Amino acid sequence: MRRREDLPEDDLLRLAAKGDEEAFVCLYRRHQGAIYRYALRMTGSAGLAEEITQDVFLVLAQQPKRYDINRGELGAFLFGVARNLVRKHWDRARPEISLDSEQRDDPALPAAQLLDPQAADPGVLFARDQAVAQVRAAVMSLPGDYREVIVLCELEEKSYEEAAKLLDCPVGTVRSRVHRARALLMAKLEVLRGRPRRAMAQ
Amino acid sequence: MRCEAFADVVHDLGRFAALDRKTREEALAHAQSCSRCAALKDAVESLEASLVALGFQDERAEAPQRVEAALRAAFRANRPRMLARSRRVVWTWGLATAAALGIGVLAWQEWKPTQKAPAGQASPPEEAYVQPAPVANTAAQQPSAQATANSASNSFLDASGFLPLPYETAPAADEQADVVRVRMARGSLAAFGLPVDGERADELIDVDFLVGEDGTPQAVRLSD
Repeated sequence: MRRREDLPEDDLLRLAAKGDEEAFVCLYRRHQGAIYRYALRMTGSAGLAEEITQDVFLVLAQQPKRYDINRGELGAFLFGVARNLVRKHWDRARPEISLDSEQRDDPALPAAQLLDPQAADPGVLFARDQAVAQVRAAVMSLPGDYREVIVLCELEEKSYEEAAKLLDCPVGTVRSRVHRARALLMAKLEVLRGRPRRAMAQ
Repeated sequence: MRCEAFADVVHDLGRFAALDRKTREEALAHAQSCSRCAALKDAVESLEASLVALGFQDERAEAPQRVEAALRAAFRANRPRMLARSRRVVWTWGLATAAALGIGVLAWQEWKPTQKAPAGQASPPEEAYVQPAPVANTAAQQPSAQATANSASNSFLDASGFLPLPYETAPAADEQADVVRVRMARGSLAAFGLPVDGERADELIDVDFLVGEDGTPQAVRLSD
């Protein structure tokens, strides 16, 4: 007999719909990371991300019929639920992140240092954390549609096609949103680093 | 390539799937010859590095264990409802099947030439009771009154006044069968495909069932 972990998603869904708790947990473990990270990156709050993740899987636990296997993959369905919950959260309270409140020291690092996980110099580590915090703040300050494509295409490293499928919009729309979002991010980071440069924000 | 075209593709230079080779080469060549576009390319690469670093930081972020525990609890709490739902589905299908069967039986009765049931009601017993009466169900012992009967079993059933239940197969020639007498409301005969006079539906009557070795009623007749 195959272990639950080895079963395809369809079988796990059938078992879960019949009340098999381990099948449900298998599905949860397969998808929770992506859903949690999406919610975390979109809301900027671990607590909210936790709440949204729980609500997404509650839908699967309590209303399994809402997912129609013929209409797409389970991951896409769960992402859609998470997306709706994130948008509801935005409607309730739009978090405004003040760029002025961020540190204005210029910790801009060369790209190589930003990406070098072995960098042991405390000064470099501190500067790197500061730089990442600035990027995070800049991402969080983007309008929702732009933030979404940055989260999907840059942080989750999805292709334009994959993102378009998840967002249910044309690939061209995703591409132009990514370009616009990147331009905005560059402009915001220049502001954060105290070096406005008009050319970057075009 | 011109600067406007470069600005249009600079964000895709790091995405190999998003740009064809020729356009990429033209863009890179342009950046080497245009300092403004080279600066833009550097800025974009710096942003990409920052985003990758941000992605690294959250790469392994997962929901805390308490979320799984809460979901397990919610799933368990919901399980009785799910089981009740699946039972409802079974019942619904069961009833639908029974209804379809009943309609089929009635239709069959309408179509089939009706057989007169004995009308007499000779001092029926008070309670339902069983009269095991092993019947050697062979054609030789009970010659059929209807020469056209298809099988020896059916011949026996017809000769003894039994009406085969439409959804049951007739007992095999060498099968033992018992006659079981039951007192029941006349209206209940409808469930066995027999015609019922609506005005006398509540009347209690004695009915003989021919029960096969597996306990399944196979034929019915009104008791004299």
